[in-house]
Amino acid sequence: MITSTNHEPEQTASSAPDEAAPPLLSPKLGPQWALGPIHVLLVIFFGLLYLLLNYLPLRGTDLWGHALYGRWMLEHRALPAADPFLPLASGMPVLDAAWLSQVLFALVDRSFGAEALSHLFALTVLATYLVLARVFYLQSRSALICLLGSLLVLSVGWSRLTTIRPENLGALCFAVLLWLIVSAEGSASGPDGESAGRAGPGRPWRLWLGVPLVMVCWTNLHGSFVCGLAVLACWAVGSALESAARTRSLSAVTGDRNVRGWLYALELGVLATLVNPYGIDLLLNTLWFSRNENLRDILEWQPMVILGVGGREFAVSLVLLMLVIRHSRVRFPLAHGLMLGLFALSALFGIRMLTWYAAAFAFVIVPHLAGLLTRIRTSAADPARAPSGEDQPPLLARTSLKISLICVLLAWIAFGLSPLSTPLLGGARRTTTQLYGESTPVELTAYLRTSPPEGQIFNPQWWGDWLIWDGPPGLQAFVTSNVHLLPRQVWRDYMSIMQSEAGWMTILGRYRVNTVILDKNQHRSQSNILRRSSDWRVVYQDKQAIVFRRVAGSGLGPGSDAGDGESPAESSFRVET
Amino acid sequence: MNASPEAEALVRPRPGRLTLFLCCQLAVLLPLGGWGLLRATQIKAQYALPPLRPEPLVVEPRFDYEVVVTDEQLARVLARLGLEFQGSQTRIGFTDHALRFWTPAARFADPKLMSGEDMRRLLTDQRRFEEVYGRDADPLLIDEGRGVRVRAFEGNTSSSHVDHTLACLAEVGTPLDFPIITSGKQTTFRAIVEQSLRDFSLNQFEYEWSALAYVLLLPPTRSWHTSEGQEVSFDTLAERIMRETLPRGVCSGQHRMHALVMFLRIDDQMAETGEQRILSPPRRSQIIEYLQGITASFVRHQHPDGFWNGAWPTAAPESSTPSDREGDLLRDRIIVTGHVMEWWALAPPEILPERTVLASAGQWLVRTIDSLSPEQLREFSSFLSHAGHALALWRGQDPAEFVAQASVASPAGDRPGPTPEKTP
Repeated sequence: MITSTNHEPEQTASSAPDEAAPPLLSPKLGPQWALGPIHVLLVIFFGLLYLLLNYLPLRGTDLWGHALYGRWMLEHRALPAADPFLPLASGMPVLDAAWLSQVLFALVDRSFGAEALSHLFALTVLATYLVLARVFYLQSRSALICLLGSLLVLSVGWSRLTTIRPENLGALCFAVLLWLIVSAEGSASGPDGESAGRAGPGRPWRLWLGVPLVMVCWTNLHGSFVCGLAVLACWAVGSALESAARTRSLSAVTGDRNVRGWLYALELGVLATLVNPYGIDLLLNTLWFSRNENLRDILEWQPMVILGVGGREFAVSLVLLMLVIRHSRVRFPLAHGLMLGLFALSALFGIRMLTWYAAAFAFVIVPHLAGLLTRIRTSAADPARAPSGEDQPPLLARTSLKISLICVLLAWIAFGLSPLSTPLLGGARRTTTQLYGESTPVELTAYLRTSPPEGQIFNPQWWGDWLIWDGPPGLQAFVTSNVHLLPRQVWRDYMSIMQSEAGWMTILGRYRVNTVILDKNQHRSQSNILRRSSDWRVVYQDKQAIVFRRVAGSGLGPGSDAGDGESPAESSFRVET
Repeated sequence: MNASPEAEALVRPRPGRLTLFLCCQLAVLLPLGGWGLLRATQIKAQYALPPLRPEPLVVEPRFDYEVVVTDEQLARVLARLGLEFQGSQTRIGFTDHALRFWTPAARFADPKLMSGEDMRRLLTDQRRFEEVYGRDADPLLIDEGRGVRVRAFEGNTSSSHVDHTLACLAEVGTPLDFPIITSGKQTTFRAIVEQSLRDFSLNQFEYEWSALAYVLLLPPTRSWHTSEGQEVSFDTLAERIMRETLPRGVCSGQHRMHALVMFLRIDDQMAETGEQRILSPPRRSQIIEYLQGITASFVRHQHPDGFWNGAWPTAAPESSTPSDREGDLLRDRIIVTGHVMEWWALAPPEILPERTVLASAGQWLVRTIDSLSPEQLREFSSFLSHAGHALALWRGQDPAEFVAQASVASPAGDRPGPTPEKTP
């Protein structure tokens, strides 16, 4: 619970004429429940954030792939050894780092329907932001900074927030870990942040119990658990280096309780990651994961571009950080620097890492913002500068139980307006378009259910998961969001078709693709060529998608796929020379 | 180094506690690191190359059908099909075809014709390659450090298909320790096989010859991992081979049938020698059913003269006279008829058509080869090697040996025949 240290009794704000009369209603709650205007702002922020998240459509993303895996695991009561939905990935080993999230998604969907996935997402992200807010509060003891920190996380990491996936649960674990770290530091920093990061685990048992618990959950929820290990390593290394710099003695470093405390926390964290169905293989696999060459073609795994996704926010955050640190008098702990550097570098090499960078950035900057705020306040309170008669607390610092009631009302309004309240309060459920978004090819899958394609289909990667989820049973998608599971050759062939490279129609033949599904907005060139080909006919189209079927008996004659700039080495009728 | 005053303030560990701390660290980190290292090694070992047979398996012909080709016809046909050495114009694609047809044992009195060993040396020795094509020609054998890759698709001095040269060398029984000389070093045939395995992907656009080479060199290994991490087996290879629409693929898809037949034969051999079969029973049945369907299609679409063209899955050729339409050229007819007769000659009996179908096709091949001009013989050299091989197989004969035996009676043809010598 975030409370203000500048609490004033309610009477302070009440009017003088009624002093003699007994109050009609006397508050049962103590003054610690009284909130101020800044808390109203916080509630508004979190309320709006929650509404926004809850109204985000589910969209045709990897969410459905995860839910499919979860459904498969529930049905088979086993972990998949190979992708059960991607025939072209048969024989490729699967280490399912998100199995627990997937089971959770499937259970939620099975129990409450797809709409509940949206609630799960909104609540998870809201919980993440609330925990982070608590972290910022513990770092700064200021509700204003707490709000500012949350806004910073949101603005820097917004581009990563709109997708519902197990990563959200990983982000929650990340926030909890930061909370544990800040708590363990014993909030020794105070508003001046003087000893932030330097203090060792003030309450080590809490850390040593909390870290393994969080890491066990995180390891089974999402592969991002290595980020947690990285954070703990930053603290262990940072404290050791600081101790070494201070003492210039190796034995003193090894004897430093702080160093040991963080080292134990790291080791416990590593050991906790072994508690999963794959043992140490999961850790090894996660460390190797980013080496997968297929991922280089996926935007979120590509290096950051300043003018691209997340680039501007990243650049602005760095500039802001430099400005704040330039004017800050708060110590900059090495652990903070290591963590920030690590996540900034990883975000530069992969946009996907922006999620973790955003939280790490806010975590690092908050103590400095708090320090600056304190200095500004001190300066403003300087009697030499302050105008006479201004001895009232600042407007934002005044507290009242009435404001607390307003906060509760606002929270209730946010809940009442959200889709989550519909089962309780009534109201119309979201329409299919509202729930799944306009980008999800709902009509396409409805068509495919009535006219299921036989054999291998070709589909855009971004629709693959949804097609299997909502399409006819046994649909043989070419590619899904599990790009990393595809053999390199298959992925290269997919990209050749996507980029309309010479011979792309012949590749369709090589995979015996009989049905081609194209995104009308993305694949005009391919669509036009297939329209002109006598081997293909359009069997379905809507505003998003177009479906081609191979004409029966086509592809049997020599040169039947001519017209796609076929390479001589791969003509449909080749002879030996 | 003196400790700072701050350090003095720290709670210094007693020596015993420090030792305990370090021991605890070792007790945690060593097993953890050891386990990680062990698993990393084990996982890496999973993706190691599979063991190889020191010598390729051999698949012998099963039939001796005189109705397909008589001794006299076979001798006459074979006499026309030797590979002339044409200096720098000699095609690697023709050479490896001729090698698998004639085998390294073939030796001819006619100095214009390449002996089997000449052919194999050109394919495996960069020094000979340079003698023929000059030092400026890009080498056929590319040293890749850990292995040797055969250059393909780059004209006369390169292999005509992925792993074609490899498969040809394997088909003629080249052992793994056979010397291979690249421009930089001397190595062995194993280096070519291993490089192929490293490069192989289940969905690469030509896989027929890779499959053929692997089935000759890998059994009793049934499955292995590609460099992409994919576990493949002869079952999955067979599935891949049967996936593609016919007559897509090189030579109207016939090489895929040939590979499948070799799978069946090697599977039989494994069972006969008490080794592990390479195919699962369901996949084996599926292959047989698939090939029976192919055979039925050939039977339906055979021209009365005995041949097929590129449209064999859907229609019989319209006329006895070749047209100028792609797929119905004379060469297309030779390609399809020669190839199907070749893999039928090796196939299990349950896949074969009626003997009249075989006889008609065999006789068409004989008549056609008889009628070809010397220029056509040169131009169609690679396709004709399949046809000649098919005819020899239908008599259960090794071409080189057969010609050697018949050498006294049958030097004939439009150009000087092989006039073969008895092979040692």
